[in-house]
Amino acid sequence: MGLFSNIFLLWGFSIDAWITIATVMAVICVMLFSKVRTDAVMLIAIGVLFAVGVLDAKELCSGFSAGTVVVTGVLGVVMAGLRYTGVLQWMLKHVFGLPDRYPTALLRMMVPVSMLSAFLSNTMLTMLFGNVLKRWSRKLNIAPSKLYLPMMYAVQMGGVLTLIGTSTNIIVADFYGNATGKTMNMFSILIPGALCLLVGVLFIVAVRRWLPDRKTPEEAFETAFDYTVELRVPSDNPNICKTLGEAGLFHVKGGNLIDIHHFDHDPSVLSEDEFIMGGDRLLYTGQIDDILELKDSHNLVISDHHVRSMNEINKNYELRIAFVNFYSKLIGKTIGGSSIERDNNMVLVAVARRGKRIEAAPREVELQAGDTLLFECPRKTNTYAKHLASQLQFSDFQEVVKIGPNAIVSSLIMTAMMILTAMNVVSLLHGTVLAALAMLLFRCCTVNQAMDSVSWRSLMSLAGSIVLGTAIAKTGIAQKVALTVVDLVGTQPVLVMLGVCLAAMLITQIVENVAVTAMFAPIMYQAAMQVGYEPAPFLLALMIAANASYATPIAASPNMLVYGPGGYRFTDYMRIGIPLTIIVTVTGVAAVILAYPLVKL
Amino acid sequence: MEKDFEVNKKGSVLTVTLGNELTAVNAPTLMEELTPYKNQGIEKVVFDATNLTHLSSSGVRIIIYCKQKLGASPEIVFVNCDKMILDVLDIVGLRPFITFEER
Repeated sequence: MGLFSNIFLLWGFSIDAWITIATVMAVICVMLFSKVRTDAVMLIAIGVLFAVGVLDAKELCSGFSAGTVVVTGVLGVVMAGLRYTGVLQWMLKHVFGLPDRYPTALLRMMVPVSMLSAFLSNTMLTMLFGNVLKRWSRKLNIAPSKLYLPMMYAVQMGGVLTLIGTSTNIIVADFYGNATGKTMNMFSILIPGALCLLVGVLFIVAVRRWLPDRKTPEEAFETAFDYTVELRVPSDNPNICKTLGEAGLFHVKGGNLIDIHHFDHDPSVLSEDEFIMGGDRLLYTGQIDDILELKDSHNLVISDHHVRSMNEINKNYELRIAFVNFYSKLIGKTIGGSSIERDNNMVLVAVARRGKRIEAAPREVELQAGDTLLFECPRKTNTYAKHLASQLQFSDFQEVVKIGPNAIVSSLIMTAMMILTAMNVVSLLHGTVLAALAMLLFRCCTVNQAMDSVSWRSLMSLAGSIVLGTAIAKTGIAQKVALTVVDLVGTQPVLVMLGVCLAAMLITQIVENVAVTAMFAPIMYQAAMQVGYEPAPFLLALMIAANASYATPIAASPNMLVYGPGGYRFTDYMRIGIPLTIIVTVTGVAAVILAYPLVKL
Repeated sequence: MEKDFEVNKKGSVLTVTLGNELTAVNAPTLMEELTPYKNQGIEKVVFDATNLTHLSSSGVRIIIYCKQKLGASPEIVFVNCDKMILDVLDIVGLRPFITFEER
């Protein structure tokens, strides 16, 4: 059949199939163009499919009771045990060392990171390593931007080494189990994954000069004239009625006054002769320490809408740096227009974008993803509180964990879990549940720590993705798309495998890889069946392709997490990410075929 | 805008009868009228605020000008001041510099 007949075939979809296609397209559009939470998008999508009768009640619930979801959730508890007994921190501290050459530093960092990522959550590892890397880059005198992207690539590539390394692998394994009744071993993907990792790491080391050498976002607040500070005149300030010149607030040590706003925003001319009034907001640019000295010398306060008097200022504050998250609700808004300062009792001091100052009043700056914000916060501010962490990523988080005997216990539990599941003594589900129970029983973490370590949002979007995948399979979309692929590329199994992998690889650059995997698993399965081959190698290749989300900052959580701290631009991800994605996908397909010769059914 | 204030000098007392508002719209005109009284020995400036309902920072600038530049720190008196105007004077920190009278 030719191309035109394939298109004609697409018109043969049932009403249910068209509804599912429309829903999937809507999901992709909402994910791309809005800030709605992924889990909410997924739940709404499957809700719609249930409401219109595409899915029945059993199918709707299937995602929530899927082994994939349970394993992913329970793994969070296992990770909490490792984290709170200090095992991860100990490893991070002792394996990096102090290499004297940049290529050696890349290898010293990427190899252990990818190994850990094979068993642990990519997102949590990126968060933990992010803080370690910042300090490490200072010691090595290497720009963090030269390390954060390779670390993220290592985390992503390492995640493909085992079935539990990333939830996408678990989805595929679970789908394979449901479709064939067979189970995939925890290390089924190890050989192709390791080959991809090897090629990927060598490629990154080889093209290391392509990595951007960016000023750290923090430097924006350390270098003169690279930030702005807004100070307010309290109503009881002794300089009221004086001119700016008379009060010594026009020409100041270490900076310049660049704007003045009176209480009512009436236009005012910036001159030495302008009178000072209570409620004035004075915008300075210059050395932060010098300008903040004006607080004491001239009885000014950091600009904040609720501060009226010096007596209200609490001295127990500290400066903290935060980055605007990719899906933060603050994007496109100003801090002045949000309640984040009031809700968290903190005050915005300065804003920088890509290492450069923003001269406008900080609280009036319309924020973008990756912007660096300098806040004055109470020392005890919990920057990891969910309501705050969902908007801002604080870079100076340091987790202090005492390493004790429980570190050995948690390591043993993890090792036992890996061995028992790898040897098929127990199933993956049994293994993870037993390990989680053991972590709690031996007090490697508290119940609260365990519960906080489970990403409920991720579980919801995972469950939703699985149900969406069910709809794609049930309505015949997977089969028809697979048929079309076969018609387009022929019945040569390698080309079929490569074709579906390339399609998944492309879409995973813009849509979360969990959703892509759930959509493509039934398609890949059907494609393998169409050409009459055992589907396992095809699905293993899909694991690698769907995880190869390196080319954009929005493709996966780890990509987003390094965007702000690395001071990156969108295009920085593409420079190495595009060739790396292609290399890893093609290597993955080749490695799968080498490791698992294709077998006719 | 039509002039909505009146300035009268009687001895060392300057009386400014204000209209509904003292804002960026009429403050520059009032400033022009007040400037000639600079260094004229003004000891007291009385603002009749009976009709005043809106005071902006441009208006506040006039009050400070009178206090700081018109003479040797003349006394500033506000007559029949509305609560909203009092609040503004509170925010800008001028209340301690002003005497309030009800007539």
